[in-house]
Amino acid sequence: MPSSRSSRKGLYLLSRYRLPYLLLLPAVVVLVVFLAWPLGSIFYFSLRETPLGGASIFVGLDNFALLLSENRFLNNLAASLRYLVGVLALSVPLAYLAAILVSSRLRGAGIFRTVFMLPWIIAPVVSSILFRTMVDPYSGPITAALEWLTGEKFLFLVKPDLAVLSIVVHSAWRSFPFEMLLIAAGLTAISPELYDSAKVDGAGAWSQFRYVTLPLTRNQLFVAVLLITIWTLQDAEGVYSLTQGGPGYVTEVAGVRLFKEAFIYFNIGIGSAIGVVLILLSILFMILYLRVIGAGESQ
Amino acid sequence: MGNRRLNRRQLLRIGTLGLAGLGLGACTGATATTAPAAEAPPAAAAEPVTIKWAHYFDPLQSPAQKFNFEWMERMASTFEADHPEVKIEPEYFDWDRIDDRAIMDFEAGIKHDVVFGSPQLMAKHFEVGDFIDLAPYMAGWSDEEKTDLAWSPVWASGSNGDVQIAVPTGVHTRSLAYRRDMFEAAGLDPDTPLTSLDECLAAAQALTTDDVYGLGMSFGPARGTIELYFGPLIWHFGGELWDPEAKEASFASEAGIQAANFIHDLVYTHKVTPESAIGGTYDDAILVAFLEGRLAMGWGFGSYWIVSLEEGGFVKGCFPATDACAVDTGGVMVTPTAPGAQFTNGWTLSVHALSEHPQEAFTFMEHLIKPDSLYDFPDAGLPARLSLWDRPEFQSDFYQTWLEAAGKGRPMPATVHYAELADTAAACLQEILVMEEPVEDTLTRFQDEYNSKYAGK
Amino acid sequence: MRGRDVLAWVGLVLIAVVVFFPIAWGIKTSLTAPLGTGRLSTPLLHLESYRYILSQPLFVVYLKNSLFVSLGAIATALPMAVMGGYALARFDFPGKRLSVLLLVLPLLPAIAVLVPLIVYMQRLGLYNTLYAVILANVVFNTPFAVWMVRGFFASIPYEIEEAATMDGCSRLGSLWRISIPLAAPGLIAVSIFVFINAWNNYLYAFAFTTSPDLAVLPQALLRFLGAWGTNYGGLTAAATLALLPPALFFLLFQKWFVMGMVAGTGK
Repeated sequence: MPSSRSSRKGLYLLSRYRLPYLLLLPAVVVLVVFLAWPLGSIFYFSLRETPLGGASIFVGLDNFALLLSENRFLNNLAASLRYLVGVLALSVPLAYLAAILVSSRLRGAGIFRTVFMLPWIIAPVVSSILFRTMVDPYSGPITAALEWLTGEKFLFLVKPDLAVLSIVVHSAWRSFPFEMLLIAAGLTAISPELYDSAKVDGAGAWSQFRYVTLPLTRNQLFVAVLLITIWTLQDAEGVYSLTQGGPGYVTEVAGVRLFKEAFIYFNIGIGSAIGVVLILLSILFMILYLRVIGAGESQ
Repeated sequence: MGNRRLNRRQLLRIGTLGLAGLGLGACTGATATTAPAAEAPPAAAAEPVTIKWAHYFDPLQSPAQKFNFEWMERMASTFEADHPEVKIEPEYFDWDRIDDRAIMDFEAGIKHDVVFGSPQLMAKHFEVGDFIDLAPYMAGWSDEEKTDLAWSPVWASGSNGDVQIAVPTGVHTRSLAYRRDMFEAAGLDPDTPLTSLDECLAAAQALTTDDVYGLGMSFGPARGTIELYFGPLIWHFGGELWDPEAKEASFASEAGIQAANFIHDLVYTHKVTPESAIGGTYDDAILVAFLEGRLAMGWGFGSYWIVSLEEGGFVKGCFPATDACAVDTGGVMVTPTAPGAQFTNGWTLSVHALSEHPQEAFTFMEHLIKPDSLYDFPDAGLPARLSLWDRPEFQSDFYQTWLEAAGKGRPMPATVHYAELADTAAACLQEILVMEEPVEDTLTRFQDEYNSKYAGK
Repeated sequence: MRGRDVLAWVGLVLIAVVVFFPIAWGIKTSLTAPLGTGRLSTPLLHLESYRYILSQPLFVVYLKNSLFVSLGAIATALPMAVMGGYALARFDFPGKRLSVLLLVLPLLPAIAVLVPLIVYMQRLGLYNTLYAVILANVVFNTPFAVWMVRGFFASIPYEIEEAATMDGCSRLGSLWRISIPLAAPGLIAVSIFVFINAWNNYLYAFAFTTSPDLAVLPQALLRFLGAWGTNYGGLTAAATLALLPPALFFLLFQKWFVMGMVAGTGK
């Protein structure tokens, strides 16, 4: 296509749709300059080695090869998946239950909707430290209660399984309010007649949930799961201030590894390569979820 | 629809909030922009030179910091009195980030003058070049003056050939703190120091009861795990954490295996060291546990904790040091590892490479390390100057034990990637302990992963 | 039906306990832990820790920095979100389908982008200023904000605006006089979302500032875990105080926040 024609077409579009383009311009400029461009740079940096106080050199895929050859990095990815599955498995059912309860016609249930949002309002670094002090072997109330119940001392940040449980419970606690809010938003949009007609058809509580509630909140559930997935995958500060990735590398999720490489060791190349892997993983999950919801819609 | 529209009162409320925000925004905005202005060189020659002093005493952290602040204020005001053309401006950085900030700010072009630093990270400072060589400024120093400061390993960390980028302000070393009353109760003589690991283990076993662990150590996810426990034990068994010739990690040696096994057995076989030490912080595992009576002996007890021994009533008249310093229910002994198998460090002072007034900065540094200035520097731990040790208040057995411990110490490996090395070795030890993985394979795996990235650097 | 109500109440209370327990533990610590780095709690309640925190001028500086960053992020992100959201809700134009990118971009891990952003901030002369922190918060919150506002405008019947246009309002005039007031709950929802995210964020300030007097509250809170042990009383007291602004903000406007989320994500 000759360029003059395309530019003329561009000008035509610009004059015809000037207002919406102008309205979108600030957001687009900010996002292109400060988000899209750095996203490109991360790919660039991942192919280079940038020593402190020196010029960077092109190293091809060396950073990726190094990472994939490491037991540690494979463990980082496994830890991230374990963390993600744990958080979703714990927070989504809890959020669903909470959403149904706060949207019910009970008097006063609405107050709980506000109360339940508290974990979302607290800074992750603060809740991490609170959780850490709660499971302290000598002064934590949770360890004290468990010791009283079982006669055993639970070393939450020492035993690998308990350390994973600690970061999962902490993150699920932080994540469930936002999920609840989204799901509750979907629930309020369902008209009560649908339940009434389901009841007329003889549907029990489970059938009502299965055939009315769940399908009609599917979009909200999708947004909730997607958001929490991405937030959990990239979480660094929550896990780092709780366990620093320990014991060993058991809770060193990819976000924590990235934080350590980029901000503690200044290994920009490796840090960027991990960033690229995280971005690709996020895109993979988005596609996966879109497929699932797409399949659900065509049913 | 109607209920969605805000009524007047609600709009007013939002408006007020917004205005309040603008007002606050305006005033904070102003303070935010004054920072770069302060960095600019003085416009008129009559204005004093400003020397920024980067320190790590968090003004918020705890009221106990007031001693450090009083010392800082006195240092600044006495210096300003002698040098009216210079103004001292303290600037705070997190204690575990101060070295990184000096490096990052050097790269970003942000200027500092006098900066506190850590010996373990001097190799990185040498590599980046964010601290100037002080040797030309010290040309006028007498040999006496130099040897007075150069006796501890802290000085050596800042040297590379003739280049000197840091000078010590104190000595942080560690010893084995122990409960004299518990020794007596267990039938042990509190006045006979333990001299070998075997003796130490036997004592720990005798001291362990239902409520008390015989020997406290700390293997948390922190540098202390390497600096105070795993590292010194590897040195004790004749190995090295890092090979300075090949410039690569070497902890997966016979000595490394012995050290890891020794630690593993303390926790799981002899059960004289609490398993909780693998997850907690160094302070909780050693200081707090010792003060609360949960430990009979605390390995890696820092010279910066002498104040706590005094406050806890374990020693009397030792902080601040007096010539009546005497032990009571607790005492310290030199860690029973082989000579040289012990870590000694301390805070150092350097001049930032972007300083516009290096001469004034150095003169201020000299003021800070004068014997009388260092003498009551609260965070010194122990005196950095050998001549100060001749004073009567340091002649007690208690302080002489600390001097012996400090002299026995050595610095951490001088690698640019010290942080990675220490964290790798700590994670390795933790995996060996909690996952019961084969010792030799695990050490080798972690060492190989480290060397595949950093060998030769 | 009675039994089901009881069950529902039991469920609500149980979840409330789970939600409240860590917070209650924090508040209890702030009232019982000794001021300083000791560990043993006293059975006596005292306000020493709060008195200490409030007597520190630096705490006020950190508080101001946090407010400046959070309100600055709202002031920057909200107008962009209103304009962009309105364009997406009310106009058809070529390339509109690309707006899906707005949904995707903020989902990419922010932590991965920080390293190159540090370099840009240095080149722009914004490094080590609170403006850099505001900008980062704007960048990572704007896409979702645009999407929420779009949903809000889309839920307002177009006829109302049309009527206004016929009465002589220009297109922008009707946006300003009719649509924005109608969409106010959505704008409040977006503001709360941005405020809370910015208020709690630690990484951006950590990455883009270096001067101690530019620290924000989450950074200041971590400082209580210091080289001389942890000051639990001070930490939990400061954390409790830091929780007040977002909690107040949320409590005042939570009704609209919930409505905003419903409209913003319903479609």
